[in-house]
Amino acid sequence: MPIRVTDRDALAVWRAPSLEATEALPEQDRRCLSLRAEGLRYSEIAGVLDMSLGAVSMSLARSLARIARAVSGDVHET
Amino acid sequence: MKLENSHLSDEQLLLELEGEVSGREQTAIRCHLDTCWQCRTRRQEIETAIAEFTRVHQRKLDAALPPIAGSRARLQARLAEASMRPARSARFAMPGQWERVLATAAMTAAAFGLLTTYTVVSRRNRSVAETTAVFIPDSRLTPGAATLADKLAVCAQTNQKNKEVPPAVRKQVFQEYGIAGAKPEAYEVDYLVTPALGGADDLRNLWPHSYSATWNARVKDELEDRLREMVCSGNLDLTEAQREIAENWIAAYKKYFHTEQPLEEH
Repeated sequence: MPIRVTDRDALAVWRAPSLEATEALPEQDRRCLSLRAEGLRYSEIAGVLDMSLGAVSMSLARSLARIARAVSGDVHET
Repeated sequence: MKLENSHLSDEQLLLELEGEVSGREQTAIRCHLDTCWQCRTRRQEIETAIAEFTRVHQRKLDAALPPIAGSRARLQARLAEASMRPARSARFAMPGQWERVLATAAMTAAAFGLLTTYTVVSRRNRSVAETTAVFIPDSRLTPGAATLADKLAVCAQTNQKNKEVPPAVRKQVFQEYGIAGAKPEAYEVDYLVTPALGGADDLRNLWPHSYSATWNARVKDELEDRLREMVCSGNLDLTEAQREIAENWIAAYKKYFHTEQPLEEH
């Protein structure tokens, strides 16, 4: 018997908390993270996105803190 | 940098982790870390977040982002410039710094129970995958799915045994997890949200669960029985039970059985 394909609208689907947290980040913060994940150094990210070096490290630290909170299940976001 | 009387900020921890601080600052930060458990724990949490983001990034989620104007050209210019300098080109040739962090973080995170997914099976790594013990589903492939959200309907089900998964679907699950060549008898193709709790007959709710793992399918069965009992006796909300089992069934087991290890040997 082939598996029944259920009505997708009726499904409750859970997603990884890290995914939810990443998608909720401001666009610029996601860009910083993505460029870092691709191997760029902070000064290079600053150059590509026309940001200061301090703004890059603040953005990355802020985003990773949000992801860390989501992963640890702490829902009390600040 | 004053570190004596206060904890390190996330930014300081990250900069140190990334090798983005000067030698003097690095020494000061490491001295603080040597004595401060709280900051060391925080550092590990940041590493875990890096590991989590790296996984998300690998799924090319950011393909949805609008392109960064001009960045490609600027990057190419930088790469060309970098190739003129051996040290810089070596750095570009090694985008794997976060991958190394990922490996370390995965180990520490497993100890902290922070990752929702412990096993990422790579299709390029088939020979390894064939012997991989899968005891938590890959949340990207198996987020979990439920069709019934009505407690009465769930508790009225008389047959609580999981339906046999057809061979074609078993094969598809094995393929998705990159273990097409694995021995079928080593895994149970398991429902993440069990049908006895309203789980769906859906590929997104199926995963290959190792029989050999400590946290094996029989341990999960115990949790499913316990959760169903709690839901039907009115002690637990059905959607909460479905969410907990889908997010991290091992964490749910530990929570509802008040134990760090499976209660009985399976």
